[in-house]
Amino acid sequence: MDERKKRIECHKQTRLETLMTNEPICKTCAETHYNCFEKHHIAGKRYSDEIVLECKNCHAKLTALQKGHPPPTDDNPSLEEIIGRFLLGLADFFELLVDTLRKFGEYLIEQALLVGNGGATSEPETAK
Amino acid sequence: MAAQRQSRKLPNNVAPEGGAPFPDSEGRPDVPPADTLDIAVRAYAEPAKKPPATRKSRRSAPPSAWTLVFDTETTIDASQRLRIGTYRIYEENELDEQGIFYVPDDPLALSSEDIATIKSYARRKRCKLRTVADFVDNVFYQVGYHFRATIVGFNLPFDISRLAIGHDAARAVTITSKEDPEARTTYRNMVGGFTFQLSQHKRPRVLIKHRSSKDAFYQFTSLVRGGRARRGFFVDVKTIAAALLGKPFTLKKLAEELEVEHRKLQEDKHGGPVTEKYLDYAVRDTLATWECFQALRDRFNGYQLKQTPLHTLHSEASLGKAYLKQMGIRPFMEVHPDFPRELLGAIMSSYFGGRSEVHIRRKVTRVLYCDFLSMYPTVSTLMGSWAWVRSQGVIWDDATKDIQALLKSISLADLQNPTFWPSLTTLVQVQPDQDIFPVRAKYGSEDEQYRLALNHLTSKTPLWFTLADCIASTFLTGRPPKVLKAWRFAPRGVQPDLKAIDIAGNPDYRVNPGTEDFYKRLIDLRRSVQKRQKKAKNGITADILKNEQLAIKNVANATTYGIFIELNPDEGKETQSGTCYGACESFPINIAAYEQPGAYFHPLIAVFTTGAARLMLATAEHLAIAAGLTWAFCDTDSMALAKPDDMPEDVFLIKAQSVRDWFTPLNPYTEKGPVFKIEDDNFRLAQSKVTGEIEPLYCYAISPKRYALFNRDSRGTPIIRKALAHGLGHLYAPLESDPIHKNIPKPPISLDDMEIKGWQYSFWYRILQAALAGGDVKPKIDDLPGFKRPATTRYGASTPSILAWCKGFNRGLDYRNQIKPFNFMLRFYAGLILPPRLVGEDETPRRSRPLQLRPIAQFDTDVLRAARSCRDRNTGEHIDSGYLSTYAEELAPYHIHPDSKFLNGQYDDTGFTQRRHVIAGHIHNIGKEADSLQEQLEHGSDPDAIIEYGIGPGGERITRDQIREMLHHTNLSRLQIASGVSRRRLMDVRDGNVVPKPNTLKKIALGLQRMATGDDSRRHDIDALLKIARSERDRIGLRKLARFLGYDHSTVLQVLDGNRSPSAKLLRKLKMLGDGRRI
Repeated sequence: MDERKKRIECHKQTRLETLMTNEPICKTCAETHYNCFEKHHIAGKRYSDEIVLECKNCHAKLTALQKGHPPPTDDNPSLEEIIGRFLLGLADFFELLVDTLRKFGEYLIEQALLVGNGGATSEPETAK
Repeated sequence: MAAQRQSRKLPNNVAPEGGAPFPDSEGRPDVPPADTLDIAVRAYAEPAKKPPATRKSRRSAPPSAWTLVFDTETTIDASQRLRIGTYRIYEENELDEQGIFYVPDDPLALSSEDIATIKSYARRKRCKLRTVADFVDNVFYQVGYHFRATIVGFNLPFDISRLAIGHDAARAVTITSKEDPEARTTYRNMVGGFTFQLSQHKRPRVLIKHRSSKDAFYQFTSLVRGGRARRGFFVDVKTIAAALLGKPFTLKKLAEELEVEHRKLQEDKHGGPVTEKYLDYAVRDTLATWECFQALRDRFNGYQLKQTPLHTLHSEASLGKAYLKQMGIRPFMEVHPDFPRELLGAIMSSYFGGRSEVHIRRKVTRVLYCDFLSMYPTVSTLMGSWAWVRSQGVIWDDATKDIQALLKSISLADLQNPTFWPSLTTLVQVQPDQDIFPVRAKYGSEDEQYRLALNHLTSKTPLWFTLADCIASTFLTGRPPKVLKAWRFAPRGVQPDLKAIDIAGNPDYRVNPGTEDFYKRLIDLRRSVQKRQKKAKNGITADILKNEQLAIKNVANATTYGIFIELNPDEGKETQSGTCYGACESFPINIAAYEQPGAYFHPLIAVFTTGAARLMLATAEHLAIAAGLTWAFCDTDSMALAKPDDMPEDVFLIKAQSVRDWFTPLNPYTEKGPVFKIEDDNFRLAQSKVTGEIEPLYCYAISPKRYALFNRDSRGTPIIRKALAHGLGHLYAPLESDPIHKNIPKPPISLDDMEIKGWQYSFWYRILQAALAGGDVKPKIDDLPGFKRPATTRYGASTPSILAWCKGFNRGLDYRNQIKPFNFMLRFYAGLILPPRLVGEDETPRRSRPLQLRPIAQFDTDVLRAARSCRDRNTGEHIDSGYLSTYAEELAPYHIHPDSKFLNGQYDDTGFTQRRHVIAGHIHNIGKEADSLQEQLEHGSDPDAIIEYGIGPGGERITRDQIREMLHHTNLSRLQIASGVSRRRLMDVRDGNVVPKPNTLKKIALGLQRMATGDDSRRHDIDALLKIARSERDRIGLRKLARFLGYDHSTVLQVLDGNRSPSAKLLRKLKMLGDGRRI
């Protein structure tokens, strides 16, 4: 292994250690490159430690959606508020996911048609 | 047998202040005179300030796909310095790089010719060649640390320590919380280990803490003290092999067992010039290690225990815990955190391990050797223990009246009914009065450790026992113990969301923990796999099935008992206050070392399981006696039923088989059959294979775990079937080739199958020959191969305190030449020496005290050369090799090893031992006994190895004022002998001139008790010692003996002739003779 590859591997392993997994995958778009990831706090950092790995693009989109959440009510959020924020975070996540699911469903049907017609397969734009 | 001796009523029925007097101990003809002994019970101790619940739980990433495998070769001199090493780097299963590293600048390790050979070999074989520093920085740290690889080796502590350029003793780490600077947490889990510096550059050090010969803890340290560390992933193939396969292996044996493609090669001579053959051997070692690792890793991955990474596997118990974790079982202390601690103390105090006893001592006896089918899983299944494991806690109710009634009416028929066994989950508080209970005590004056035996027990303090122990006592004494209180326990509910698992990853072996009895299912599965294995025609299929049935067996053993009583001593430095919960009232303590409960700590399960196992043995004993038989020895789950001399052979077999058959209805498994099985050793061998024909088996048992089983040929000579290496295993083979003496017949089965070494076999053979010759014939052992050489133990410098003994050897040497951590060392044995008489300032000759020498030497393949350079480990002074004991001398008393747990167990005693009658003196609350046992075997017993929590209220027997009063009416000269406390000190105590220490008080109380009871057993001890001394006098002469004892010869003569009582000091010296010390 040459020095360049060694340096890349060191960086990769440090990233994977931070991500706490050897096989990261974006839950929204299925990105897998180790260097594309960030940790997304589902309910917002103030409200819960629950995180999910998202690629940087999807994380930016989710953070943008989080901006639409109601402003904080109190310095010490109640349990009800935490649960509410968590559900809103999940809703954001599903909002993004809907688009991916639709595209993936359409892709599978298209593939089925191609196979039925004896045609070749190809990858959709979003599925990686 | 002294069974008919009439017991005397105890005269010193002394009551503690405000306490009840001893129970009324009416003499019973079957109970011998009493001895007052301090007894010990296990206790549960908890610090007042709970330890922090570890660092904030953080899921860590698993190791990467990289693996670094390496191995080192060293010189064979004392320094065991690194010469070369070989390594392989894999990504997944693809080899990325293989190479050799060497020490470039140490002529004592490698000559320039050696280096030239290595370079040419590496070029030819296309191995990457590196210096050791290059390997450390660019492979070990690059791959092992930065690539987060799994670092693999065989005996990894030794290999890592070879790479080191410096070391220190590991210290505690204190971490200050960022949020709260006042909150500090100190971690001591690696204290007692070493920290190694491997690189000249700034790199994390490697911490290694030795745990046993098979296991160690490893981690990289943090570069910043107290900072976050990447711990690394270390896997010692030796450790995971023992955990997954259930027994220890060498690399050679492991490669054979796993049938890997590349086996270990026959080594070229270690330490000689480096040759191509030697390099082939070194390279092959690493390849074999990789293939073994791969095979074990794949097997473990097949188990689908996803929550337990391979590098966290330390033992079979880890595997058991991994299965419970995978099922989603939550620990008892988590589901029932508020379980009353007083009750936990009572439960712990009723915990005792297995019985290991000899009943017929040093007498050849015809036996039928039987053992219980999977004892712990069987009793666990009978009692329904699985319901406890999966429960959401425990409920209990007062069952005092029920238990009192039950013990009055209990019969063997009740026990034979499997539906009775679940009701054994009851804890009983009794007032022991000559009942037969497990008693943990220091039985002999020479005992430094508590030992367990089933003896008659009388105690003024109520004690807790399991119902199983109470039933056993009822059967063995013929009367129920006095029950004061009984708590009946039952599991509460079932934990939700338990997950079904596939044993060994096979869907056919699926177990549903929520609905099935896990233990029963395991044994059923194992039996069915064993059957299929026997029928399998294809060798590969048979091997797969063999592995599967072994995996099931390991799971069964690992999940039935040990993990539920796991307590790990916390190596604290500073004392902290807490509470000790034991048999009596709880009391405050202030100690440094608290025991931390293991992950699945559930003492009720362990207590009831071991209690039920003891009941099985006691029932076998009771049935044997009732059938007119007797027994020679028992050991946890086995018993040798013995034939009385006057009983015909055929009657013996019929009666012994009736005892066996009694247990058959208790078989809880699907496939019915005997539970108390006749072992293979009872059957005739034909071409080393066991036939179905019984052949008379004889037993010669010396003391617990020191016995041999044998057949006799037509001339009456022994054919050994089984002999234990207990008490021999710590000694190195006298000769490297380990031959059997030419006049001793070869064993009928391989020594490997017998699990003993050649010299141990020869030694046992000679013991049996002497035993069969009858009389007082001493075994002839001095002609056995190598027995005239100094007795030697090989051990590793595995802890900083052991390494400290080598200071004398290391003084003035540079690091490479020093004895380093994990180096091998040699220990020798020596008697006492009497230093020359000293003349004080007043020119009065002072009598010197004999010195106990502790010789150690640097490792040397030539043991005789090592013996010539040995030093005392305490003083560092040179010891002349003439002082060293030979194998023949060290093992001379082996065949008369005393068993003070019972009467008639002294050096020269033979025949039936008899249960002692123990009156409980002080009741000590103690921690785990088995800790550091291996270390103690290698380096001598360590009375401090056990955690003593002290004596709580209610645990004392007699007060200081009472003792002082009694001294006024006692003959102090007699008491001096009885107690071992000097007359001067006794007078000081009597007159109130000194405040005696608790230990002195204990000795005096014991002496008073001995004088009051007449103490036959002590008199017996003295007689036995005098007998040995007389035989020594006949051997070496009176004057030489007197010189050894440090007494005038006329005084010794008077003592030997019975005209004078031996003083306590002389007795202590005579005991050294009894212990086999050489003059």
